[in-house]
Amino acid sequence: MKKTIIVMSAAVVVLSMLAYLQGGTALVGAGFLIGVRMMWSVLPMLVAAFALNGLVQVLVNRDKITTILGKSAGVKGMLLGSLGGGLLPGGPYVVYPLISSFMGTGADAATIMALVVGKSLLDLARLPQEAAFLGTKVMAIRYGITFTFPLLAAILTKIFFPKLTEELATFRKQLEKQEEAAKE
Amino acid sequence: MKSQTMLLGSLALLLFIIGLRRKDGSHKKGLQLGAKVFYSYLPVLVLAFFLAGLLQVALPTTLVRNWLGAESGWRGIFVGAFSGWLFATGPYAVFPIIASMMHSGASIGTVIALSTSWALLSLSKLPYELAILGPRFTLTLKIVTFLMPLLAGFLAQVLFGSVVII
Repeated sequence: MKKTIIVMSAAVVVLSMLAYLQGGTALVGAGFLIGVRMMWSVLPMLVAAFALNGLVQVLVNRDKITTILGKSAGVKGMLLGSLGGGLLPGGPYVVYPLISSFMGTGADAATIMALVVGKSLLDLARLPQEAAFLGTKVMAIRYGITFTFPLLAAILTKIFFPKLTEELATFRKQLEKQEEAAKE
Repeated sequence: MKSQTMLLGSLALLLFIIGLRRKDGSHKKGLQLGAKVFYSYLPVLVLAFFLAGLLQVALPTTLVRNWLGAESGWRGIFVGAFSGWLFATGPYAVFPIIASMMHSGASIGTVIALSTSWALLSLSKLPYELAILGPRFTLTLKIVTFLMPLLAGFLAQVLFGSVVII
């Protein structure tokens, strides 16, 4: 988060200088004013979006999704993976370890691919923010068009990378060994 | 804008009621979590809005239109599809920036290509992908999803090119 703040502050400074060179302090002021106005106009929506985000995170049961996906394979696994990925709440540091735990437990690499791409494209918890900033129309078009992409990614994995499931199991074993060594 | 707030508000209310009916305090926990995340993101949000405002005045509209607008043809979609990975930040920083590009005249194809490209290829996720999911999986992931932003932008422009998005 700190890094993000530093990078964004630097970008604000650079853009302020760019605006200053083009139109002096008046243009810089105008830029900040547009920002404040934009923030003010979307504030109620943001409050609703964050409330929704928190409620989704609390109400969606991660364990239940994990149990169902661990047992699924084939087309059913790919489909459930796509939708399950969208339902899994939390950032990559929360969701990826959970997805990584499927590796080596019999889950197909295609199912894991569907989960990761589903999380990236169909994230339910991100939907309100996308609607708040880009509008419901653009949000709906984006979700509609990319809805089948996780399934497509899973099918491509199945066809072109048939050995990936075994490779992931090996990677998982190595990871577990490292974790055990670290514990000792 | 108002109808969107109403929609999000109603959805939040619906989930609040579901949480309330569970009788385990989920409704309170959810709202508290939302408030916590909101406060933690507040500095980033404020900066994101300043950034979006400054982008609108510092980036000449003609430049955005030439490079990312409908008049730029397919070039805008190409630029959008392969520049999302550069936005190594979370949704709260990216969406206001994309919104300001939209206001400056970026086409629907470009907007969809850019947001899809950020969602799939953003550099901010790469360290987690490599460390937790492994280099082999990460490489496969990037190969199978590489052209998806371009496909999404292309489909959006062909199917929804005439839709008024602002």
